[in-house]
Amino acid sequence: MKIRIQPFLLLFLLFLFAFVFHTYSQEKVTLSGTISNKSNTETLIGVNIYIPEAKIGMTTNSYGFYTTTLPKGTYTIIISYVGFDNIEETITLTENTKRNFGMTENSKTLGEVVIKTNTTKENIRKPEMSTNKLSIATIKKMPAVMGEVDVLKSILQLPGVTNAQEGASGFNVRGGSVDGNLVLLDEAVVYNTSHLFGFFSVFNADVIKDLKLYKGGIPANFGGRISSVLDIYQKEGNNKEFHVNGGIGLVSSRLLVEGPIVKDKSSFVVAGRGSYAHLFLKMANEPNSANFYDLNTKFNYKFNDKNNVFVSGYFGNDNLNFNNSFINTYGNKLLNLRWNHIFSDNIFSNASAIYSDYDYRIKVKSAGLDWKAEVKNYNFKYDFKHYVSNNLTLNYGVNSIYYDFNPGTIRPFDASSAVNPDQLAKKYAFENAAYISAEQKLSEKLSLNYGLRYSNFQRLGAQEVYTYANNLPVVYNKELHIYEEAKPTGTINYLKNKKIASFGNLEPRLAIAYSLNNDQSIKASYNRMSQYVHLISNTASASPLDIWAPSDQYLKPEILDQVALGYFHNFKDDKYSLEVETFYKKIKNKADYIDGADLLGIDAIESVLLNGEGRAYGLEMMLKKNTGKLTGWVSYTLSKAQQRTPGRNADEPGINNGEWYRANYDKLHNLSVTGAYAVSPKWSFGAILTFQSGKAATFPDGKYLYQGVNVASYGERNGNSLAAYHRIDVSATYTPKPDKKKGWQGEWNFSIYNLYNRNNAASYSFRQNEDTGTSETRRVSIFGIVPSVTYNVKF
Amino acid sequence: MKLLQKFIILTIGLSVALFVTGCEKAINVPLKTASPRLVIDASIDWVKNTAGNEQKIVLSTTTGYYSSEFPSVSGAVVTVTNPSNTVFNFVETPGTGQYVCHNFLPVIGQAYNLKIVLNGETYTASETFTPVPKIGIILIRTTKEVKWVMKLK
Repeated sequence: MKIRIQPFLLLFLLFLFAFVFHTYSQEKVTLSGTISNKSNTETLIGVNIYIPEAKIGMTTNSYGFYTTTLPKGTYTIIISYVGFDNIEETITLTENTKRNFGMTENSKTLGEVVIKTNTTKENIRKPEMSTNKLSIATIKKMPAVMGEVDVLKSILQLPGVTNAQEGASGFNVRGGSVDGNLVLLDEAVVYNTSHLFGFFSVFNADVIKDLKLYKGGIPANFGGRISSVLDIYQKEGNNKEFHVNGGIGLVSSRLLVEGPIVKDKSSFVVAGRGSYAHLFLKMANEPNSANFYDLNTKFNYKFNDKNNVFVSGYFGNDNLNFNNSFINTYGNKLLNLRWNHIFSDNIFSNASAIYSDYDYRIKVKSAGLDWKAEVKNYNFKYDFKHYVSNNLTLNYGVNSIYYDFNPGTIRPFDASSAVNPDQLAKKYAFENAAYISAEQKLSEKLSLNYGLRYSNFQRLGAQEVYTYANNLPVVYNKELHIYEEAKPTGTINYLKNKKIASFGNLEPRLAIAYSLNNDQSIKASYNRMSQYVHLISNTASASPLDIWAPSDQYLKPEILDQVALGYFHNFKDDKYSLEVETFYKKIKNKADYIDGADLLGIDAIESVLLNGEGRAYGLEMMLKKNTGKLTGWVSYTLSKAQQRTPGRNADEPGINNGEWYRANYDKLHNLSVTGAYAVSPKWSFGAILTFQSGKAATFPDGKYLYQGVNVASYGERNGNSLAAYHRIDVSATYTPKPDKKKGWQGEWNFSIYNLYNRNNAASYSFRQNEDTGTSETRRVSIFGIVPSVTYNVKF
Repeated sequence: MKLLQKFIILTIGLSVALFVTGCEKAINVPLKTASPRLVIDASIDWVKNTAGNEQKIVLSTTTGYYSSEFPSVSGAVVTVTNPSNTVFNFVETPGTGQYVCHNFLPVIGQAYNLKIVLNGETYTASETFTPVPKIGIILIRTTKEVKWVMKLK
């Protein structure tokens, strides 16, 4: 859709609209404030607030802020949040009031936690569905592999989330590809979420405050990726006292320092993490090594009740070295400046300026190659949350990103290499969006979330772009029955910032929740998403050879439509919760590679891609036990993800004869059982059981002899599967002095990854045995049993 | 505490060793076999300092991936034609699937056409006879020494 709506005109109209509403509500007073954790002063996200006399319920936003408008009078406020003691207070309102609350953690106490029955049960009433919120407390109870609790490993246990394979970075949501996930760290986009073959994530759990995964029903303030949004917020740092938190493990260690700069006004947090296995390996004369490090920094200054400024930075790097003949390094750098401003007590705004730089480099001695690629982006966002009335909250804002892609700087590996230096054409683009959405409570039983996002993408110069005969970068060779790269007929030179291609899309979003009663609800949602930047990868897993590429006249933006329907039930006083959801997705402009596509050093990606479509559907179920000595969940997903790449005309077969084939990351069954058991104040245990259907693979259905070499002949694309993936992880945490709250508090963590040492297949390779010459199927697996010990300390 | 120490030492050793070591093993995975397809292995090679008149084309079919035999194909009529329409016949050594020609005339730069007729189907291909670039020296180096030097004329 190429509708020309000026985003800024839209925004101006919204401001007008908002002011009209605002002047109307002068009879009442506002009650607003921030809710924090008393012990570490961190603001809390998604805290439930209920005012029974006015029958009003709400939650704090991502900065811990809440606001409501009430007639003057006396009210009871009930505040509840999982892992914390409830607060119940009486308040008399005679004028606009600012009231902050500090909540006390109850995670150390055992026994059942009683939740009052007249709280709002936000997961039942809110139209939010297809989302999973994981508190850092829950993540910390799960088995810590290699001594580190891991954010990404935890979300893999949620329904609808799988990973391509062991050792691969990234994750897949509801049959979506790795590049379909918008991963945000304090609002900055993260391109590669893994360290060390996907074993660790780039998120240091000590610094994380909260995270939320949206698999569907994605609200209008998010856009740019079609599959999911993983929204992660870092802590601000304790603004009252200094604290140090650290851990020493076999493979890696970490250290966090936080504290006030100006008490109650300003705080900082600095956390570093690094691995040193490579040093041990060097001592053992092992020629291979791998190491990573990362640094999270955040600083905030609260000017007054209405203004708060944050500066955060993340720097991380990975270094994989195989015998000095294959070296892979990559890293993310993020820098983020944010300003929260509260207009007249009921309009909360956040302005962000973000710089992100993702670079990756491979050096291959045997090919004499040193290849580096980079993605830089400059991002500005301005988001508003306008609490118009107790039944209506408006969200609106704008988002602009400027991209600078370097697909490859090629250099010789060393002086003896035959490779010539080359620079692939850099690519530039500008992505803009404006949105408005409303969260509206229509009645006691019915709530709606609806909105519209308009996104616009411009591919810009300076760049020389190839032209092709009939505008076809891929041609079909009828004689050989294969697709080939077309020879360009010429080039067009676009000057700096000249428009090469432009796209605009309207993305409607809608979610409805209907409460059958206090404990049960039915929800439905529809969303349309568009994605303008793509990860070009020839394998099913995200590997170092992935190239981020922007859309252009040949590589069209992907457009997704998703509908979902769900049933939610809390029972036994919120002790258990059940979520059942079904979804259906359709994707337009899903590209796939022609057979034999070679991506390394390719300047014209369009010459190896064919346009197609995708679809996915499934059923997800999750049963959670929220309270008690034993907590955890069972999640099961049954799903199917497919792709189809038909021929462009009657003479061409397309890929797989134009029929639907399994998508690379399609997995039929995904079962996950997670449990945490607090035996006593000193000992607690955790376990995870994971079972996933084997990854889709293409197997040979024959072989032949050619020029004295055995050549495998492959069958239907993705027509087979690897063996099923399953493993059990266990961990035990020993706290010698559980009652000690001040001074040095230590804790031992013992964990075993892959308890029964199953050699899960990462891939199969088909070739002849080196000694006997017989044809074999060889299975490559990455991690067997990995035990680990970590000593964690805080003071 | 002693037990703890032992556990730690054990895990240090294991973790470090296991960490960067992947594992590769041959496994038994049953594979389907598609219906056999004709494989034509035709390469006209002219070895330096020979007449180049002995040439061989091998016909076989695809076979099951784990099979140890490649079935040969007999009864095909194999011919190669040069631009002056001289036909070179390739005759099968009975039962081997190898079709041999003793009187081939290789000329660099000429275009040759291959034609195979088998069971009512005709297969054709054409190629230009290209020379191999002259190789002067091949050096194979291991670590810092030069192990092999081959000089070719």
